[in-house]
Amino acid sequence: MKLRFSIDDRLTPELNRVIGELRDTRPLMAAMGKRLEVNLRAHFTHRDAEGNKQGWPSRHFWARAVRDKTALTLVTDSLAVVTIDSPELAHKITGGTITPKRGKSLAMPANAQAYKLGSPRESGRDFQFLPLYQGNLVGALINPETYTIGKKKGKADGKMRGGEVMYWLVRSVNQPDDPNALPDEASLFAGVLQTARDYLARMLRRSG
Amino acid sequence: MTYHTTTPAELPAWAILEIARAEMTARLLVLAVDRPDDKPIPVAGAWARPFVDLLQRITRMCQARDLWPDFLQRMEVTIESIPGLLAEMDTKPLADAIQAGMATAVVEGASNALAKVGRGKSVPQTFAAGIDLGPLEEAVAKLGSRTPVAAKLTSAEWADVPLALRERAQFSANVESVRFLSEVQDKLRKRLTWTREQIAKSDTAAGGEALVDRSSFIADMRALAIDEGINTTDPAHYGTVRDIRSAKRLGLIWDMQTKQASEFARWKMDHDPDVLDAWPAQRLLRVEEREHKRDWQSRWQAAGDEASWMGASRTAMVALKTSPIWTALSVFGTPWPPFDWGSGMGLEDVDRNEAEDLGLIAPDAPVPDYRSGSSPAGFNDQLQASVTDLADWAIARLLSVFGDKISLKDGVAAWVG
Repeated sequence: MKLRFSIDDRLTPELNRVIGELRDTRPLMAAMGKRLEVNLRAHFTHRDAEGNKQGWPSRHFWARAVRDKTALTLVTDSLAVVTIDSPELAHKITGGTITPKRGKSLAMPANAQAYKLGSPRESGRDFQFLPLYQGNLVGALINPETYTIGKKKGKADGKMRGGEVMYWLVRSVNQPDDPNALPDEASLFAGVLQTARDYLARMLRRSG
Repeated sequence: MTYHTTTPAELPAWAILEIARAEMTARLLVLAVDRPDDKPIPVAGAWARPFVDLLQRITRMCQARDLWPDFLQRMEVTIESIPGLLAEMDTKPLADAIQAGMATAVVEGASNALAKVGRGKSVPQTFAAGIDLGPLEEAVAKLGSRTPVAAKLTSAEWADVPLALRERAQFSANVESVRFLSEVQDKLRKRLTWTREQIAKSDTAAGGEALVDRSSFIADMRALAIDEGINTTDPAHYGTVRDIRSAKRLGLIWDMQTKQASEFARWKMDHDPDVLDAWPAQRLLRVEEREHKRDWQSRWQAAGDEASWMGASRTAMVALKTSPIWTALSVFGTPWPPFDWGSGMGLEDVDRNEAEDLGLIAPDAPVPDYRSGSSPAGFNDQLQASVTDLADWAIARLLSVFGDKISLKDGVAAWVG
């Protein structure tokens, strides 16, 4: 996925004219490209601070899986590119349906403890499977320490089972696109004009 | 047709002047005004619209003056309306236009000064910025330079291995299985290159292609560790970071290595001369909360003392990117984050203005290269130094650990892969 933005439109006509006088524009692109990286990382830091909708202890997705993977990677005399090494972010931008590959269903954490543990496979713990098979819902994974089997007339009744649900198992998840996955253009290019001015002022001083 | 005219000698001087000025302006606008469809002349600033309209009217009047017996009276009325026009004007746009004009004059002066630098080559006419979602090439290369090294060394013992060799090894404390470490390397490579794994359909898996992520890495490497019979600790420490089969240990491997790889990529570009000149410094700050926080202020002071405060602030945790404080701060001896195991500290770039305000660098001066481990050249020096003039016992230890992966020549240990 590649996104491209014109910088000319964000500079004043006067600046564009002065830039046209420069012998070498790469240093200017380097300065502005780094500003772009700084703005992106600041946005992801802000998203990380929001926490999750459920109010569970954060797993720092935006900091670890996005911010830490954002870096200026290319600077030429006319182009600056920031690369974000995050497949998860790519999916948040486009949205889409997620289906299981490594398992038979997708495990959705039902509480803060499960969220902290990660996926059932990742946790390494054993859970009790409770089948439900209602539409998209396949079943639930129960905390084995709380798993109970109901009794009817003194005999175990397999239909009456329960316990603390740790994960809901579903066939698929439709993830809507996140309109705030990337900053809006104004935020993305905040300070770029000032960065350009600062650079040109510095060049003027150095040229005597 | 009868015309009543007033000779020029009978006109007040100011009227003659205004008519003359209108005529001159009309001639400048003649190409634009001479429109059969009478479209209004486009103007850059909305504040100028009333004036341009007036000039257009005057011009037409001049052009049609032979048709109007009362031309001069009409002109007089038109010119007398000018003061009223000014009184009704919203002058703020005009003030803004004047300010912009002054800025233009400054920039034109700058343009003239810059022109002295010369037009050595053709400069591009358009400039663009981009965001790519994909692998970080430098991170991939960094990981690719590592080779699995299986050795029963503790974390502390690995910390004593020369940096040059440690940087090239894919290792984990007390893990002696090459197969396990090779799989770690392969999983991380797939993640960094966005390579999908083929998952076979089975009783427990729907099958298909899937990217490697933290969750699958932990699950798969645990299964392999169990399969290989790898045991790195005693039962009392099962489930802790000492236990290679624990989510804590495997998650730490994933977090540390993926972060080190991406931060290395940032560090390399940060030392590009043009990037470094514009953004010469960085700030150490907390990016993730921790229940138990290390005392980074004290660590900063200690690292600063070790680095003789070269390029580093004593009052703020900010330093030039080339300052030796960064390698002094890190328990791993590398100038990029993370600076300690499971650290929640990160870096924020600091631009030249702020770096100069903090006194880290003289105004407009080039960023000094202290030839420390924090800059690429200095880091390579540090790598070289770490394997030079080693004691005999250290050499013997290295040979027992690395075997034929290293060579010793002229007192220098080198990686041969």
